[in-house]
This record gives sequence, C-alpha cells and structure tokens, in this order.
Amino acid sequence: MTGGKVDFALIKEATRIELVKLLDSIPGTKAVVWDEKLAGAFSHVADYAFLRTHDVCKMFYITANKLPPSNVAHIIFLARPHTSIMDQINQQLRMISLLCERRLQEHGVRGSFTTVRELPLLLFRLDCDLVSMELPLCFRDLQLDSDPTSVFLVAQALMTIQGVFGLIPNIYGKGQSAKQVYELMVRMRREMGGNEPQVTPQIDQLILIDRSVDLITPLATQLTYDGLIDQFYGINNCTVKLPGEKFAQTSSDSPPSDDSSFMDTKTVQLSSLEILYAEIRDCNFSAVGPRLSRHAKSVKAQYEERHAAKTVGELKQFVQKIPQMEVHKQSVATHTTIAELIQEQIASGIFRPALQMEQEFLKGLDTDKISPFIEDCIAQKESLNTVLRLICLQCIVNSGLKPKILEHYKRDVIHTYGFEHFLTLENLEKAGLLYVQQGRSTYATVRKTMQLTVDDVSEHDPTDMSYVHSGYAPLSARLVEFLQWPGWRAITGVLQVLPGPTLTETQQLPSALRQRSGPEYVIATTKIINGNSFLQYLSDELGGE
Amino acid sequence: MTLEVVSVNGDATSYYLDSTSHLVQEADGLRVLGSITHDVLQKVPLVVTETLGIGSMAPGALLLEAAKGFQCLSNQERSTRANDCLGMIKDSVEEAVNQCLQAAQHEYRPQAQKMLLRAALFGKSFIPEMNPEPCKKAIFTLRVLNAVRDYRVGLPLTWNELEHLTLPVLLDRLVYRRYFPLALQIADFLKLPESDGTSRILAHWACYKVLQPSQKSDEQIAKEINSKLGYTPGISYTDIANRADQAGRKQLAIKVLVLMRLGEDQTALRRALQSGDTDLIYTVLHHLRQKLSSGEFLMLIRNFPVAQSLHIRSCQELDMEQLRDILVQEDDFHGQGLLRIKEAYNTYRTDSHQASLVGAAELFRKAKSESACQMTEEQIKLNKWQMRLEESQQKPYAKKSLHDTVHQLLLDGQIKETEKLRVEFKIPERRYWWLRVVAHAQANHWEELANFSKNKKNPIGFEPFVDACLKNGNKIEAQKYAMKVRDENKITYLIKCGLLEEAVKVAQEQRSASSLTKVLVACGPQHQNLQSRIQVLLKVGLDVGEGGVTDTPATSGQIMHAMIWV
Repeated sequence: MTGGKVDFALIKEATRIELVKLLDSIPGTKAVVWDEKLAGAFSHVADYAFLRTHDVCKMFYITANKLPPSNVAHIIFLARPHTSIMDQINQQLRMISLLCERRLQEHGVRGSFTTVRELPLLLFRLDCDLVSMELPLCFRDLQLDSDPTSVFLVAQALMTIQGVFGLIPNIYGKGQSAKQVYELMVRMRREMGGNEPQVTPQIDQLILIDRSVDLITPLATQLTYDGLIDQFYGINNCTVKLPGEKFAQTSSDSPPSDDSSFMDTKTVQLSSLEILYAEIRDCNFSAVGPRLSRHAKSVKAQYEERHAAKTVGELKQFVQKIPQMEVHKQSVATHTTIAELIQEQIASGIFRPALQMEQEFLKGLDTDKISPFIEDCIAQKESLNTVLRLICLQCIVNSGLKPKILEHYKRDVIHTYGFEHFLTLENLEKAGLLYVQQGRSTYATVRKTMQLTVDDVSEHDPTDMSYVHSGYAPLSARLVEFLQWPGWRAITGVLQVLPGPTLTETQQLPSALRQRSGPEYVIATTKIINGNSFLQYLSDELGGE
Repeated sequence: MTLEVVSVNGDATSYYLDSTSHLVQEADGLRVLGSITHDVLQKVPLVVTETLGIGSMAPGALLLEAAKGFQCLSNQERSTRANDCLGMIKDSVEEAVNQCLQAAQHEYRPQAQKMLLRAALFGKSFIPEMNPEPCKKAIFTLRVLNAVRDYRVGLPLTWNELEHLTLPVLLDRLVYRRYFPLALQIADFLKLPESDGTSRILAHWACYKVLQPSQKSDEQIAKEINSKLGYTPGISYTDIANRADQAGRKQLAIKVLVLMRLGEDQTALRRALQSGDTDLIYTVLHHLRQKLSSGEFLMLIRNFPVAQSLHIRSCQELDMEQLRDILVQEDDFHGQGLLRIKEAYNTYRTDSHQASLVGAAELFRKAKSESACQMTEEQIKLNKWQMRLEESQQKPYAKKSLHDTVHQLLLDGQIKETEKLRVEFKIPERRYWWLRVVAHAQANHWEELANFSKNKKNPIGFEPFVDACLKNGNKIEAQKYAMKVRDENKITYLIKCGLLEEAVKVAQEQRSASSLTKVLVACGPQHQNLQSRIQVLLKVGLDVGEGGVTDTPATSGQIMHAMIWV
C-alpha cells in the first residue's frame, strides 16, 4: 500500500542501502550477532532472506552465553550503543559510541575487533506515513540526565528526511527541545554549504513538538482498537504477542518457525496492509464490534454464494475468489479473538473505574483534593503504573498538587509498594510529571481554548479527534490542528501557558515550486509510547537485580 | 648654554639650550636631553628640502602645489592652479608621488604629514597601475610613529630608525616600557600575526603581572590573566607560571597553569558542544580527562552544564566514585542522598543497607529535602521493626513494604502488632481498613472480619467487605454485609451476592424501573418465578411511577458500550 504524496518507503530504501553498504564492505561469509532490541526494528528493513543474499549465513542474539562455534570469516555485532551490551559482548567472546569503545577497551577485548563502525540508521518505517526512531529513552535522557544526544539524532533524522523529500520550507515548533532541534538543523544546513540535495520539496510544513509540552496525552488511556492492543499487550515493531490458547484453532495456519519455543504465545503482525485492520485500527473500540460483525456476515455471505453458482463458469469464478476469501476470513477470526481478549481485559480489574476517574480529571473535576479512588487503588495495591498515571494526570491537570496532597500520595505509594520506588517518584518529579502547585491552574484555559474535552462525542461515527479517548482530544494533536486553522496566532494565550518557546520559522528555499492540496500528515517520532511504557521508561526500581 | 653645530664646510649654527643637556647619538641624528626637554636634531633630508623648499621646482614640490590648488575653495582657482602645476610634471608624476611620500615619512608634524600624504594620493590617482603598497605602508607606519612619539610614550624614533629596528623590536620596547595596551593596539592595527603580536604581548603582560606585588589574591590574578588571554593561541603557559615560580609565588604559578590550559581546552569543548554531537563532546571530555587532573577537569566542565551532565551520565555507568566527587563539589546534597540510596540497594548486607539509608537521610536533611528525609527515616524505622519482627515471629519480613508487612501480620492474626504499626507509621484510617478487610477475608478470619465491621467509624463503606468475601469464595459471609452497602450500590451488590429477592424488594422501595431491569437481566433460568414477578412489577411500576421513577444518573464520561457479538 502506498500512501499519499509522501511515502516513507523511501526512507526504508535509504536505510537498506546503508546496511548493504556496511555488509558489502566486509568480504566473505558473515555471522551477525544481534542486539535483541534491534532485531525487531531491523526486520522492517531487511529480512533474513535478504541478508542471505549478502553472505550472511548465521544469526545470533547478544546474550551472556558463549557464541556457538561457527566457520564464518567475519562476525558482526550489531548493537545499540549501551555499555551494558558491551559487557555482554565481552562475555560472549570469551557499535558504536565512544563510551562503548572505551568499555570494550577496559575489558581488553577491543583488539579482537577488526573494526568498530557506526551504522547511521536513524529512522525505521513502521507504516507508509509513520517512521519511528526507536529511541524509547529519549524523554528520560533529556529530562532526567539532560543528555541531548537524542536532540542531535532527531535533527540528523530530519536532515535525512529532507534529503529524501526536499527541504521543508515552514517550520513550527513548541517546546525547548523543539527549538534546539531547529537550531541544530540550521547549523547542519549551514555546514552542508551549497551541497544540498536538489529535490523538489514535497513536505510543506514541519511541526516539532516537544513531549514536555503535552504530558497529559501519554497519561490518558487511548481507546482505539490499536491503542488498547498496545495498552494491554504492547505493540513492538508492529507485532503483538498475545496469549496463545485463544488462537488454538487458528494458529496452525501460519506457524512462525522461530516461534516454536513459545507455544503459549501467538505473535500477530499488525499492518495497514491488512484491509480489515486498516479499517478498524483507529476506530474507537466500541465501534469495532459492529464492524467486525459486519465483516463476519459478509464473509458468510460470500461463502453462501456457492449455492447460487449454477453454471460451471460461475463456479469457476467462485473458486477463484476462495483464496482471497480465506485470507479475509482468517483476518476476521484473528481480530475477533483479539477484540474478545481486549473485552475481557476491559471488563476485569479496575480498567473501567480508572478510566472514569481519568475522564473526570480531564474535565477538571475535583483535581485539587485527594482522590478517594486513587487512595482505594493504593490500599488494594492495584498496579503501580495505573496509580502513578492517575496521580501524575491529576497533578498536571491541576498545574501541580498542593504540598500536603503530594506528600500524602508519595507516602501512600512508598508505604504500599515499598521504598524501592523512591527513585521512580524522584524521577517523575524531575521529569515534570509530579510537582508542587505554583500559581493558578492553567489547565482550564488550555482545555477551553483548545477544546480538549468534548461532551457529545460520537464513537461510532467520529467527526472530531476526541473520539480516540472517548471525550478527550490530545493536546499535541490539537496544536497541529489549530496550526492549520485558524493558525497559532489565534491561540497565543495558550502557547504562553505551555512550557518552552514557540517556534515559527521559514527556511529559504533555493527555488521552490509549491503545490497546495489538503493537508496530509506524516509522522516521525522518537518512539511510540502509551501510558504504561511512558512511565516505565521513567521508573527506576531499586534492588531489582 | 649653546650648542654649536659645525658642518664639514665650516658653516656653523648655534642653538640655545636652557638647561644642562646630554647628547645622545642616533643613527641619523642627535637627541638632546635637557632637564625638561627632549629634542631631536637631524639634518633635513634632501627629499624634504626638495619638496617643501621655497621656490623648489622639484616634481614633488609641484605635485604638492597642484594638490593644494585642487583643494582650494574657489572652483576656478582650483582648476587652473592644479592644472598648471600638473602640466609641468606631466611625465614625472610617479617620481613626484614618491617624493611626497618620502617627505611625509621624514616629517614630524602630523599636519604636514597629512598634507604631503594627500598630495601623494592625489598624484597617485593619475597613475592607476601604481603599486599601492608604499602608500599604505607609509600611512600605517606614520600612525604608529606618531603614537610612539607622543610625549607620554617618549620614543622619538625617526623613520629610518624604525626601518632598522623593525616593528617587533618596537613592540618589545613598548612592552619593556610596560605600554601593554598601546603595543596591543599597534599589533591589532597592523594586523600582525598573533605569534608576533598579540600573544607575545599578552604573554609578556602576564609575566609582568605575576611578578607585580599586589593586593589581590592569587586566585583573582590568575582569573584576570585568564580573562585577558582567553583563547589566544601560542601562549606558553609554562613560561608565565615559571616566572611566577621564580618570583616565589608558587600558588599563583599553579593557578595560572590551571587556568591557562583551561583556556585552550574550553575552546575545544565549546566547539564540540555547539555541534550538538554527543560523540564529539565525549571525545573532548575523554581527552580532557586524560590531560587534566581530576580537580581541574571537574572545575572546567562545571562551566558547561551539558558537558557536565554528560559526564555525570557516563559516571553513572562507569565510575560511581567520580560521580560522588562531582556531587560533593557541587554541594548537591540531594543528589548525594539519592546516590546513597542506590548504594543501599546494591548491598546484600543488612547493616550496610541500613547505614547507607541513615547517611542518605542525613544528606536529605542537609539539602532541606524534607519529604525525602522523612520517607527515608520512615524506611529506616520500618527496617528496624522488621528485624524485630523477624526475631519474634521467625518469619522473613525484610524487603517487604509497610503494606505487605501489615498484611502478613494480619494473615498471621497478629492484630496487636498491626495496631502498633498503624500508630507508629500513622497509617491513614482508610488504608488501614482496606488492609484489615482484605487480609481477614483472605485468611478466612470471618469472625474477626465480622467484629471489625461492627466498628462505628467505617470510612470505606461495606462494599469492600462484600467484594473481599466474594473474592475468597464465601457468598454466605458476603450476604451478611450486602444489605449494609450504600443505597446507590445496593442493587448491584445484592445481585452480586445472588440475593435477587432482596434486590427486587429494594428496587421496589427505591421505585426504580432501571434497578428492576438490572435484576431482571441478572435472572437465570432457575429464577422464572421472580422473572415474571419483576415483569409484572415493571408494568405496574411504570404505570404508577411515571415521573416518580428515579434512575441512577448516568455516569459521567462516555464509557465503553457493551459489545454485541454475532
């Protein structure tokens, strides 16, 4: 499936070329030892069959165990630049950042490597209109460690995008990091001098939004089909691992070869290439049921057609359609099962009451007192993630909590979940998710101006983006929407209230031909997150290992 | 007193001097030093006589005349005089220009210099192909000469002398006379290469500076030097430090050395930071760390927040000791406290765990992080309690949270102990009730639960009682509490406990059609009687209760609708 004007497939091509360049620069047979976290992302770039054509004959994961003996000429370690991984590589013997190299030096194994090289892959295409940099720790690095590496990488990635799709003439942004990214881009462009790629600009606007501008949205529960799958099971690189027993009768159709050891889980590939999934992925979950049932009926009706087929010709036509029908049937079955699983999750536990609490907070109700619901959740030792999410949400919506309330929550959490979570609380404070109230709450203004909450939202036939949270419209998405119309000048009040500088810049184009059509968005992100993962990346549990 | 000057031809000139004077021989003249005067006596160079001599017809003189004519105010006079004179030197303009330039070079009064230079430039404009360098050199050099001839400097150099001396020597002389600013300005003005000019002068200045006795502290002097020298390359810091050392100022020497080297390194670091490339920054940091002593290194990076946080970052992974040094240097007590807490959890020994926490609490107090301090202290207290409990109960309690500790005690029926803990740790009523209810039910202490439920001050209602009983599979116990549930939840809870008859009764009392419907939905095949009764009631109820029927208000927010499956 190709997208609109801008298709990130080109990015994938560019990535692939980089990888091939690296592989081909090393003659002879090769074994690739993967960093497990990278393997998934790379599967979008090149599969095993493709790698085989480039003399890769063995693949392993980086683990603490010894490498099995093999007779290849070269062993390539593909790893993210983390020192802990370097430790593992070290163990395994007996990429590329300086720190890592040094760590290897410390271990005295640097010498056994012929070369350590950087593979400049920044963007992974997840869909035709979505690329991710797969930097889950970006927000944490910036907020907790003031490590600007990801800002640099984002700027580099945007330069890559501009290299493929041409210079982007208009740049808008909100937030400190957005500004830094822009400044680095300007700098990088200057360094390139006149050697800019001569590509007709295909992207008209670039909107940079710093996560710290909109901390509310990741804390709210997404209620789309896609969002809920991610919420409950976690989507990684467009695949999701689900409990296997529900799929018992269907899993025989396509047993993934590498999956044999995990009989209890079933891996499902989620891609917009699947027509049914493309239709329902962004629907509010309550609208998914009716749609699935309609599809189920149409599958049934198609099969019924065989009775109507009288002549040999008609029968032949029917037979020709069978494979396609089989695929469709399989797809309906899979998604019905997934929807059932989600339905179970929703019905059980505190999902519903927590969601209700969340929506009350988002409407600005009772955010200035201790919430009995949160207290009860803590008293029953519900999942810490849920509890922290609600507390953070209440805090942000209220523009900070009163010292006494914050204290109370913190004590409650420590008492119930243990002192091990002390650092996590510290981190949340450092990241600006928990803080003591200073001044009046600004959320009411923002909510009103940006229409963050909508009362009469139609989940089945949405006309406004607020359907994704059944009533709450994501602030960052609203910012983008308002930029299109009526323009950011209309909401200066809100922009002042939100943290960080606002950015409206134009890049001078050498000579640009511009054709305007309706806005069409492509998205580049550092990582796709949900409320759970967002907080997980910020947490530090002590004594875990 | 007179000074008699006799030429080789025997001509003599007398000068009157008003005080006892000394004569100093120069290459092309004579300096006369009186008590309050300083004169230069020189044979007027031929070129000057030719150009400025009265009635001279040398090309230079004519060019000067032409230039003067050109500058005249009245238009007519201007054109004729200039034209006439130019006409006379038509073929020797170049010579005339050179004469004017040379005359200017030997002239002492700026006024006359200007006049001659103007004439030279005027003449030069008629010869487009003429080399501009001599003119430029004359103008620049004269400016320098005038500056050093100023009475405040008192270096009455002639042009020829300067030619022999060369500029660097002149600068050195200025430096020896401690005219550092003038020397710097000259070097700047002539755009001398830094190694000859600026940096040499600054180095001399710094050496002089360290030798001067001063009120200022060594630190201050070192900083002053650093701020002046900044990033000028080619300065030998060791020289300056050696000089200080020779003067017996060891401390200053060290400080200078540190700051000087920093100057260079700062530039590198700043460049790396500007690029935004973290790898590059790490490269510079790594290099600096090897080059500088630990203290110097830390001092340097503290001026660069990004570099510092990157360094801290790498320390977190590689070098905890260094991290502690940084936090100590920055007086970051809170950060040190957090580090101690991390340590506490990296050790397996109970005593050192406890000791680390005590240290952390102390640091938090220093940092005025009251809440952190309080929580840490509570944890220390909890550890102590747990140790005591482990002894008395012979069960592991360590590493349990307060919640889990109380829960465990309740499961074991140690209600007295839990009461102590509740008081000691000020567990809020609400949480304590929840704990009791859940734990009693889990341990099947039904009697205990019943006793507890009789407590008047129930902050959580009876819903948790029902839920807890049901969760542990005791419907009978659950039913005991169902009727006590708050009105708005009563129907739901009665249905949960399977008390459908009672639910119908309550619904009837509440005159709520929706409640009745709820019960009806809950009816199974075994409740056929009840079902039909409800249906009758619903019919009657609707007829009777029109307007009086109060439905429970819809929950705020649009919550998931029930799904209908095929």
